[in-house]
Amino acid sequence: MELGLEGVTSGYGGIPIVREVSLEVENGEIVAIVGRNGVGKTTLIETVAGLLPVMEGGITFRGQDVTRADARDRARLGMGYVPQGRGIFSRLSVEENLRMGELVGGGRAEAAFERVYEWFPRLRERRRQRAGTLSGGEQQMLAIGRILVGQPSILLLDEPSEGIQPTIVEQIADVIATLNRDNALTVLLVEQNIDLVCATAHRCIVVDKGATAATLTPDELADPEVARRYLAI
Amino acid sequence: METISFIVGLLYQYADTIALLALSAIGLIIIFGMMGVINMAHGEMMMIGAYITSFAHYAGIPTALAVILGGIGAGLAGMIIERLVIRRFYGQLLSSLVATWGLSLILSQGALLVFGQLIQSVPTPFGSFTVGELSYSYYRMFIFLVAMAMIAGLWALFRFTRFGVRARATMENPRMARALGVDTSRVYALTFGLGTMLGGFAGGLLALTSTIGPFYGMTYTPQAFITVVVGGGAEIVTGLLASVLSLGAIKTIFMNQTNILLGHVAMLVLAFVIIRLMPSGISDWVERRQVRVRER
Ligand SMILES: Nc1ncnc2c1ncn2[C@@H]1O[C@H](COP(=O)(O)OP(=O)(O)OP(=O)(O)O)[C@@H](O)[C@H]1O
Ligand SMILES: [Mg+2]
Repeated sequence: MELGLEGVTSGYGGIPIVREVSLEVENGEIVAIVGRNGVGKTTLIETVAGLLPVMEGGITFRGQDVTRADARDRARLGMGYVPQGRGIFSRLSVEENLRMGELVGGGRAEAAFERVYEWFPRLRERRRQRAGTLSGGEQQMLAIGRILVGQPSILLLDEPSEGIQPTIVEQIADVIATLNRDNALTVLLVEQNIDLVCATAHRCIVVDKGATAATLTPDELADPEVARRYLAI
Repeated sequence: METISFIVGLLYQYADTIALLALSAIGLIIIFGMMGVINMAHGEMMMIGAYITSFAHYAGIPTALAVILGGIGAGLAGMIIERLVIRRFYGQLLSSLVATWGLSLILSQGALLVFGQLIQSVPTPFGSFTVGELSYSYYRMFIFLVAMAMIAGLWALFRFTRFGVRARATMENPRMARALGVDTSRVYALTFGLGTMLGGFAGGLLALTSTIGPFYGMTYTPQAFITVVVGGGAEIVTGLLASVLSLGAIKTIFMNQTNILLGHVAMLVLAFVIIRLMPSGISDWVERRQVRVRER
């Protein structure tokens, strides 16, 4: 098991948002977290990344108990986190942003800039540019590429398709699927875009009011009737 | 000949003013830009640098090394202070002002208690040269060059080193930096140490031109604060450069045409105008404009 949550409760200022969530992500699996706006998907993934403290329950990652480990330690253990809104450093150049991914997974091996530039040639063209000048789609490529410069063993992606044109969403889906197939990379994906979920995920967990409400296969979610029921789209 | 000596005099004054502003502000602006903390005890860091320089000099250590020791001493003092006090006040401008002000009082009064009113000053090296009627100090030109080299070094540090890139990232978004594995509290401690080290080094350099006492730092802090506020915290190096060049220019012109007092007044007025127009400093203003131009 790559990642395990056991009755995790967390929130802000002592008020729980995510309630007793238990889930397991196997090595090499792509799990999608879906749910309406404001149900606590971001709160959940930030708790996994170590940016929000666990109020109750426990988290294990690659066989280690990381419940009390902070975000820095979890990143070095191999969690590659891409936040909602992308979290790029707008004052740094594209290349400098990529360098910031080096520590993910421990920062031991040679950073994989070339590989990232091959996946996202657009980033190579713009590597000296300030990251703040990139378009939304390019910034998303940068945020994902930044993680891949290191050695993540799991990707934590929070709505990578948000505000991005369809062609780039397809490209990102491609990269996720390829990485998963070739390198057995595990992915925890928060996403509202059904197409992206269906193109990549092996399993979908529906979250409602901070708790897990159902587990679906991507095929089930592809049914507009089911999607409407769970996502109210 | 008249005009040549006039121009030389003006340039000399300009360089001297820039050096003074840059040396007194360089450590302060790093700390402000990185951590949003104004270190009111910055003058005392300069004082520590000056004291160590003097003691080391009279212990027979070569002056250049004595100044460097001053920087190292203040840097270490800064890291200790960061660990004990500053860490609790990141991003809280007002509380950090009060806390570091208290620290400044403790340090200066402590120095007064332990070492008395004045300690032995260090003679200015290098001698002087004359152009026309007036004589100029080589050492003042030297510290101008050192100040410029420090700014260039700082620029290179933030641009090209791992530490520098991580520090800039932490400055912009500490949460994200942490989520990428950066030890942000270490970055803060090192940056604070770097700022106080540069303050101590500047204090040591300037100690060779003045008397040294417990309130030595207070000669430099007012202009250091003005320089930092005018420069802003968005881009440390460009903010500092823009600030010292503009403030230095106005001060030099007024000093040259009238007297030192009016030079100070003119600098304050300019600072006031700049802050009215760009409340968070020149570098922040420039950045906002760039963003706006791009969005169009
Ligand atoms: N920093 C915060 N402080 C307090 N409450 C917050 C904070 N961030 C989010 N919340 C609240 O927590 C709840 C869940 O928010 P969260 O961002 O996790 O939802 P989400 O499922 O990611 O939504 P979206 O689909 O819009 O991204 C919301 O009610 C929100 O108002
Ligand atoms: Mg969200």
